[in-house]
Amino acid sequence: MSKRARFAFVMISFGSLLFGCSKDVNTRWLFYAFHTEVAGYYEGGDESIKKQSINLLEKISKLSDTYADPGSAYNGLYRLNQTNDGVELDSLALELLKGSIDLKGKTDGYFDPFCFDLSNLWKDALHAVTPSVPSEEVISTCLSNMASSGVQIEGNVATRIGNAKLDFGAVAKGFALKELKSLYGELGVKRFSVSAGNSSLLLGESPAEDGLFDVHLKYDDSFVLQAKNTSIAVSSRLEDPIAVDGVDYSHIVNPLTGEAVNTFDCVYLEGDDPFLLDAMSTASVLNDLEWIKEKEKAYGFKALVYDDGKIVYANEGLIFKK
Amino acid sequence: MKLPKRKIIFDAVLIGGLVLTAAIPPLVLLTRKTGDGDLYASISVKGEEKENINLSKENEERYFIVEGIGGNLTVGVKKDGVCVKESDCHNHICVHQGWVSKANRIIVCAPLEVTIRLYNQNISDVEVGA
Repeated sequence: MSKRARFAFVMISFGSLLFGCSKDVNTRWLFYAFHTEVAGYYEGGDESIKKQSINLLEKISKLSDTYADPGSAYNGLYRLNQTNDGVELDSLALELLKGSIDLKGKTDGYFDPFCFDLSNLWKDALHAVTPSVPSEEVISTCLSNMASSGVQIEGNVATRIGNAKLDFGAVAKGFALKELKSLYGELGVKRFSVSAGNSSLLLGESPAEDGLFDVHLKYDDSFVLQAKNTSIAVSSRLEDPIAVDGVDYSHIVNPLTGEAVNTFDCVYLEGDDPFLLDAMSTASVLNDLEWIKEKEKAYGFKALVYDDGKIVYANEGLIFKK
Repeated sequence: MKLPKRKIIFDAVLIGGLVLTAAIPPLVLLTRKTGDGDLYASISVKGEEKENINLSKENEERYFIVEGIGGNLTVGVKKDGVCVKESDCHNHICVHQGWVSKANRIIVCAPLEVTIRLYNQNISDVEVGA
């Protein structure tokens, strides 16, 4: 055997060993944020990606929580709810605030960041020992407060006008996933997934050869959706509905009427912007199909809509696998 | 040129050794038990994992206490299933979910900051559902 052949054999063997040892390395991570669990995976064993992901989620989870003071470093939006004086915000908090106000316009007001009191009103009534429906008078006061409230932003200082308080619960996860998407883009991470409480997903490519994820739907196991390099948001009244006098009430409250009765069982949206999708999915369960189709065209997402346990609309661009 | 017999034997042994060495990684990959079929439950309190249970190996139904933030839960496990039987939380959304047995599904007890995530080794599977 010649020296050259021996060298080739050694190199092939060494390369094969390296290939065998490096293949299949994936990192899974979990983090408690947004009052739920955020679970992620990415290809490779670079621990710094996990650390950066968790740091970002922790920060957004804290700064978006307007229910309790998360501590001075992150409490700009919480403080904004406590006063009508100007509050200095850091860039992320400012972006979340501005983006949420923008989404109110894009959803025609069906997502409203000033819904803190209205949401709590329903939450308290429905989760009382004896569930009830809030009175029309109290709902009307909330709606009137919301209509007369706003935020003025000058530089990095925001001033809340009026009595209604801000609530980012419906869009904070989507906002965080949008930020993670940017981070992974900068870091060059291509194979990954992040699930924020299973209601908001950010998908890169899966470890499968075609990179597609099989997206299982919680309320329908007759097929899976296949997707990659996208995001998915879902809103549903099927999660913990509460019946009062034979009517099922949802945790999703219509900020225009003040009612907690939804049009559809469940709406899944797939598209590029998880922040937009979070607001649009919330708004979609309150609307009709024409409204959803109009928004699909305007913002380039794809909808899958369920009512009475069956699909009532599916965008033809969605990939189904039986 | 005729090679010496000793050198031929040496080369044969060397080639055999190299072929075997090269075959090890693919063989390991092919024969390794990935546990794809096994279903696990990861139980975390405020994001810190407290228990990681292979549900596929749970042959008998059993219950145990998990200390959450400000209260306890009684968690039940059985073959390929997990549930929250009792909880000190005020809304009992976690209890109402009953037995859960699908990968990627989570039970969240937000008031006590406890999450139970079911998972398997198949990273290409994800679940979506509010």
